[in-house]
Formats: sequence, structure tokens, C-alpha cells
Amino acid sequence: MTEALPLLILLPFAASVLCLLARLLRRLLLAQVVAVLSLGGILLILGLLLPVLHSQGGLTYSMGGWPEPLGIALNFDTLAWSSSVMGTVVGLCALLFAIGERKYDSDFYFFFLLLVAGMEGVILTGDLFNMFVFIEIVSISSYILIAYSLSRDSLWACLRYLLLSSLSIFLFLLGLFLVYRIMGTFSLRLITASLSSAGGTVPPAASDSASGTAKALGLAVAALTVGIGLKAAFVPLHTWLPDAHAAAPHPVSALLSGVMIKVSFLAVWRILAALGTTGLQALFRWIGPLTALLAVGLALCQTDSKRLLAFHSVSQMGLITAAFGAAAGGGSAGLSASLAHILSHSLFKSLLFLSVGAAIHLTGERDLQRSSAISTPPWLMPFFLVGALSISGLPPFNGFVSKTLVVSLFKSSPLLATALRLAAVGTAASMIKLSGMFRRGRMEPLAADEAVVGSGRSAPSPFFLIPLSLLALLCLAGGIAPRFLIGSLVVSATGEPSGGFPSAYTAEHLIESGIYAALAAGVYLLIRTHRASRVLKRIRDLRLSLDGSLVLIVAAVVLFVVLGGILRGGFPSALFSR
Amino acid sequence: MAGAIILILILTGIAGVVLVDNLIKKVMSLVILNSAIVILFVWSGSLTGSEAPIMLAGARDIVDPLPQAIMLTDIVIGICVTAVALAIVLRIYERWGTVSRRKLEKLMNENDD
Repeated sequence: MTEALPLLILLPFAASVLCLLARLLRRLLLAQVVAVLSLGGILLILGLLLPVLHSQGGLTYSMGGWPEPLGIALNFDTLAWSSSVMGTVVGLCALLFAIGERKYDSDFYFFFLLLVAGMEGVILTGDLFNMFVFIEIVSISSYILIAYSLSRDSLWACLRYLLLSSLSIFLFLLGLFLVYRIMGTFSLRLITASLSSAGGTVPPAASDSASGTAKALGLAVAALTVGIGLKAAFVPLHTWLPDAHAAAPHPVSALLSGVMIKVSFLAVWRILAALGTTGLQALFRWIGPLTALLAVGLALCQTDSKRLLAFHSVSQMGLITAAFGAAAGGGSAGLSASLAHILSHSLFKSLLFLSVGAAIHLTGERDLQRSSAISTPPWLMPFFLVGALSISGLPPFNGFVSKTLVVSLFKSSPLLATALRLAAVGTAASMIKLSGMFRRGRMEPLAADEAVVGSGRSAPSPFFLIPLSLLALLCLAGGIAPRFLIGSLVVSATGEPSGGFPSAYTAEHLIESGIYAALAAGVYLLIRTHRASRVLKRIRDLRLSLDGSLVLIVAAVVLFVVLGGILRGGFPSALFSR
Repeated sequence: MAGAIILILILTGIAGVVLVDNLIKKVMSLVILNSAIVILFVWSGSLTGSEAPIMLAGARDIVDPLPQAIMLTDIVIGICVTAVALAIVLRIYERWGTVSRRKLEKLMNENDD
């Protein structure tokens, strides 16, 4: 069964080549069928791999039959399995939605499948350089998908993202160089093995002094973390995301926000787990709540529906990184909370992006100030509601379960817990603001063309209904049976004993989420006042320039090095001698 | 010597990406950064030996071949990214008639109101 592992990457690759063929033959249907079949094939393989995974714990496959220092390994464990399933399910839903939109040609499906293949690669690879290659495949296909509409905003968002991402990838390569200098290999498994056999952070190849190499390794990890962290979009590396995710076509926004940023974060997770620098991991304990709060504040100010959602992707990444940071220095409760929130966020955020996307598609209006006057088809409302309640952390949806897990990690530090709670209130308030889009308005849609609106008023297209209902059902199922669905995955991925996945449904947590909802309604009424809306507009107009965000990347490395306590006591200059 | 050249290239590249106003020059600075990485890796491989790593009989004291091999991949990826970047800059120029970052951001903010 191990031989099936490369198929997970090769299948979408092969399918994307067929899409190019479909373009030559001018058969759009061929591209669509091939795309759906290949993602279905991945799900099938993942289903077949599950029993093997349960019996063996983890699988390793060496590409081309070469063992590891020479060849490249694919590592497959429960973490990889669950994120792969998450990516494929969301990918399949986004794909069906794209077919339903009828706006895209074969090129779109080519890049879409390339993006899926790249993400599978990032999830599976056990080799740092290989990770770089897959990250670049993901990047290049996402640049093109973001700019797909060639509209004013999308071109600029794409170039912005491209420049920021290329600068961060340069840092990643610098980190790779340091890792290779110190460890002599790119294989994550071998690095972990040699680090642990040397008893801690002292690598075996320590030529001069052990502390010098430890410092250099710290530098390397900081560069690697910022390099991939840009795509995981935590503060201060989040500046590209709202523009890019708002400008992308709707199914692409769902895939980027739902899966791509998490996959990049899993790469950070794997790097920190293998190279082990707890000082850096502990930093996320502070970065997380800061990210969550800042992004929610900015989300409240937005009037563009997709920009609002994109800011929420940043803020939810804050929750995920906060839980990850809380796990620094041992303890798997933080890791399982982080993974649980990764899984639930990918479901409800893609549900939100697709339902808002469907509303924009059917009414032709994406601005919240104008769209509240326009009637949206009533069948969209329940889907949006499931997503909105879920992201606001209200029962009985999956967001409630995972958000409760994350917040309960911070019992010992009231400051950070308050930041996370405020972020939760702001999230709920901005969801009330967003719901204006789905209310019954006075006007029938004018801007959209007749055929599209007509189909919206009569029977909704199954290509919209199927993905939306699937995601909504999964959100509900994750909330009703968290132990069965999320719990079992999380427990086996992070190695926490099965009793350790606590129930979220206690009276205390239920009352707490009720208070959030009440406060959120208050905040919503507050920001609707005339004076507040002027303040919000002023904040909305504060946009960081491109150069400013480029400087932030460089600053982030310096910040990580200084705050992570890496260079305490001098620069490891011995690294650069023969 | 090699180290100094690499350092100068890296600093030039970062300064170019961050400070220069012209978008084409920003993309060129990214190319410089990528070249610096290539030289850095190849140089670090050269520290282990002095002969080309071609495994004929009697080859001895060879440089580390892995950095050279992976840099081939990096060069290819770099070309792809540069091509996409230039294509986007071209589209932007066709639409607005400028490649100045400052002018573009000003135009963006004006159109928003």
C-alpha cells in the first residue's frame, strides 16, 4: 500500500496535464470531468490508506527506491492524512462550485489541479528542499489563479503577493543553506534522529563549539519559519492576504483560505517539530492572540464582503498559532486544539466563502453597503448561517468545539485569554454585519445578467447546492460528534491519550458563548452609528504600502531572532569557514 | 572573497526589492537575490573539495555535488517566477501606463472613493 503514496501527488499532476490536452481539443467538459475524477481518486486512496495507517502508525516511501540520505522520502502519518482529507474535500467542493459558475476555461482547471498537487506535496514530503519545490508550485499556481480575472484589484493583489512571497522564499532558501551547512542533509527524519541522538540541540557535526552550531540552527529555523510563515499569514506577515483572497475567484478564495494557509502552517509545524527551537514556538503564544485581535478589528471596518472574510482568515490563523504556541515545551493539548481548529476552520471558512461567492454570483454585488438593498435568493441563507454561527463559536457547530479548546488553553494568562475572547466577540459582530448581504432587500438584482438571476430565482443549481450542503453538514457533524470526528483524528495525530480530548459542552462554555453573542449584537449596534462609521472608514483607508509590507518581512526575521533569544552572545562565524 | 561578493549581492537585492520604486527593477532585484542564493550554495559545496563531481574512475577530492544539483532546480523555479512576475507587470503597465509603485498605489486609492 506504501506504493500508493506518490499517487496522491501524481494523480492531480497527471490530471492537470489532461486539462492542457482538453484545452488543445477545446473540450471543457473533459477538463472538468478529469478534475473531479482525480480529486475523487485521491479521496479513494486516502480511504484505502486509513486501515494501513491504523495498523502501522506511519508510512514512509522513498522516491525511486533510493534510501533516505540519497533519495527523497514521503512521510505519511495521521497529521498528513487528516490535512490531506481536509484539502481534498474542500478542493472538491470548490471545484464543483467552479463548474457551477461556468466562467472558467480549461486553463483554470489546469492551475487548480496544480495547486492541489503542490499542497499534497507540501503535506507529504519529508525533505526540506522538496518542500521548497512544492511550495513554489503552490505559489506559482496561486499567483495565476488570483490574477485569473485580470481585473484591476486582482492584478495588483497578485503582484503584491508575488513580490512578498518571493522575498520570503529567499529567506527560506537562506535557512535551507544554514540547515545543510550544519546538518549535512535536508531530510527532516534524519535531522530529528541526529538531533535527538546527540541529546538535545547539539548537532553531531559540531566542529568548533556546540553553542555556536545551536545558534546557527536557531537562525536557520527563524529564516525557515518566516519564509513559509508568510503564507500562513500571521502578524506581521499577513499584509498580502486580504487583498489576494478578496481578489481571487470565489472557489479559489475558498481553497486558499480554507486549505493553503493551513498547509503552509503545517509546514512550519513540521519544521519546528524536527529542528526543535522551543523559544520560537513559544513566541506564537503571543503572536496568535495579537493576530486574532488585530485582524478582527480590521475585519469590522471592511465593507467589501470578501475582504471582510479574508481578514477573518487571518484572525482564525491567530487562534491556530496561539494554540500551537501554547504547546511549546511539551504538552499535546495545545497541538490537538491547534489541529482541531485547523480542521474546523477549513470547513466553515470555505463554506462562508462559497456562500458569499454564490450570493455575489447571483446578485452581482459584493459591497455590503449596497448589497443589503438587493434580494438574495432565500435558499442561500441557511448555508451562510451555518458558517457564520460556526466561525462565531456558537453551538452546536464545529467552531464552538475547537474555539473552546483553544481558549481553555489560556486559563493561566488572563491577558491573552481576554484578547482571544474579544476577538470572538468581534468575529460574531462582523458576521452580523455580513449577514446584511443575505437579508431580504427592497430591490431585485439589477446588475447581474438575466440568465444567471433567473436560474437563481427558480431552482438552485446542484453544483452550488451539493458543495454547500456537504460543507454545512460536516460543520454540523463536527459540532455534534466532536469526539468521533475531530477527536479521534486529533488524538492519533498528536499522540494525546484518548481521554484527553475534553468535551466542550459544559454549562460554563455554553453560557460564555451566549455572552459573546449578546456582546456581539451590542458591538454591531455600536459600529452602525454615524460617528463610528466615519472612524471605521478612516481605519479602512489606512493601507500599508507595498514597500512597507516588504520591510515588515525583513523586520519579522530580526524580531524572531531577537525575541526567540537565538543570538544571545555573538554571531556563529565559524559556520562560514572551511 | 566569494563570501563578500555574495553578501554584496544579497544586500543589493534586498535594497532593490524594498526601496526601488520601479516594479520591473523590483523583479530584477528578486533575480539578483536568487543568483546570490545559487552562488551561495555552489560556494558552500566547493568548500569540501576542489574537483568537479563527475564520477569517473580515480575521481578524488570532489566538491559536494548536492548543492549544485538542487540549484539547478532552483534556477528553473526562479525563471518561472520571474516570467510570471514580468507577465503581471506587463498587464499592469497595459492597464495603467505606469510601472511606478507610488503612482499605482495613488491611482488605486483614488479609484476606491
